[in-house]
Amino acid sequence: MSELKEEIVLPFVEGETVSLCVANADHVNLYAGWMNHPETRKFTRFNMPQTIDEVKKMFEPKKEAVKEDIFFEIWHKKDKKPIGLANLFRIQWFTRNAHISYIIDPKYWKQNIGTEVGKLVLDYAYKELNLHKITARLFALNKASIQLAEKLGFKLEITLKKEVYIDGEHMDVFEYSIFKDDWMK
Amino acid sequence: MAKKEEKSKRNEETEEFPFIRGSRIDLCPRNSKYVNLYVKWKNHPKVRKYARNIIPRTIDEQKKRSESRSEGISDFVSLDVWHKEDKKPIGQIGLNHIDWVNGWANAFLQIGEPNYWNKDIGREATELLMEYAFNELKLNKIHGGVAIDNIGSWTVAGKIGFVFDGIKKHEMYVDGKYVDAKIFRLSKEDWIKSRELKKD
Repeated sequence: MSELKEEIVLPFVEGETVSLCVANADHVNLYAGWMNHPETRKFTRFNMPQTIDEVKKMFEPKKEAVKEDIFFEIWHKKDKKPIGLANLFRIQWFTRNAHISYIIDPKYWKQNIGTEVGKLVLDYAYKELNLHKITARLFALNKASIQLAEKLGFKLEITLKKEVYIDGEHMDVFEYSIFKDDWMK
Repeated sequence: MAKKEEKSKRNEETEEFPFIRGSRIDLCPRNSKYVNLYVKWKNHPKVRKYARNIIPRTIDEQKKRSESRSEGISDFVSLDVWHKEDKKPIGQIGLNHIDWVNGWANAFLQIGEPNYWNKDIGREATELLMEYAFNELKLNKIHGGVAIDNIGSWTVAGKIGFVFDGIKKHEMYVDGKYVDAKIFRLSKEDWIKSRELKKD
């Protein structure tokens, strides 16, 4: 990894174990790594290989007047390095709905980091962006994420039967949602 | 002679281009060399709260902003608050929504480095800006709006002679609820009066 200059770490939302930082063009190889890694990409939408150039494009400044996607780099405070990405996407400002997604480096799985990231992103979405409903699309076999969603208060809204094709068979996809009123209670 | 040489050498290194000179600070044009500082202030959780920056801004996005300038006379003026002794920009100040016909503008101020807060720097910067707005830009009135719990900001406004204009209810969404904003105005008349009072 190239030398990380201290000043370039830009925490946007501070947490305890992690902070949500601004996406960093210098870390694009890490991002590309996670998006291509067989374990992390298994239950995400990334079933096509992502080149570094394609990933770079995702983080380039866009011409849009209003943002549809907001990316955060998950920064591990003690180990002083990026360990994942979290984002809100498909932000519809009229209905105030958005989708949420995240990727964490497998070395940091099973450490409750997903829980903290979820809390930070939902707090941000409701308390700062004034959104109304956040949705997570989860594949049926993604037990870890489903457990996390339920822990955070998401409720199963719809099931898309046999929606995706993973490891040689069709799998259901769940849409879990959480409303601002539920989160702010 | 030696002192002058030293001074120009120092200036070369730090590239300071004062636009308005003050005592502890100068107001300088924005410099793309400091894009890392600008982006740090925009994203810093404490600083961005009342500066109303709620979307994370990457370095590339910040760079792009300084590129896109409208042609001709613009409706905003943006300046760096340059700390003379520490030789670095510590914040941003300026006017936006300048209505040239009606002679008014909105003032904004953001000290990006929290360790320069509570040192009366906001006050000096605002005074320099007001002087510029009234005497050089020939404006007639300046507005400022501040979230009701952003105490630091309305203390500065009060010290300079801004007059409390009223409360705009539910003007901003901060920390999960709608909050009121205090609106201040400073007309050229009030400005001149407050300077005269100062002389006494």
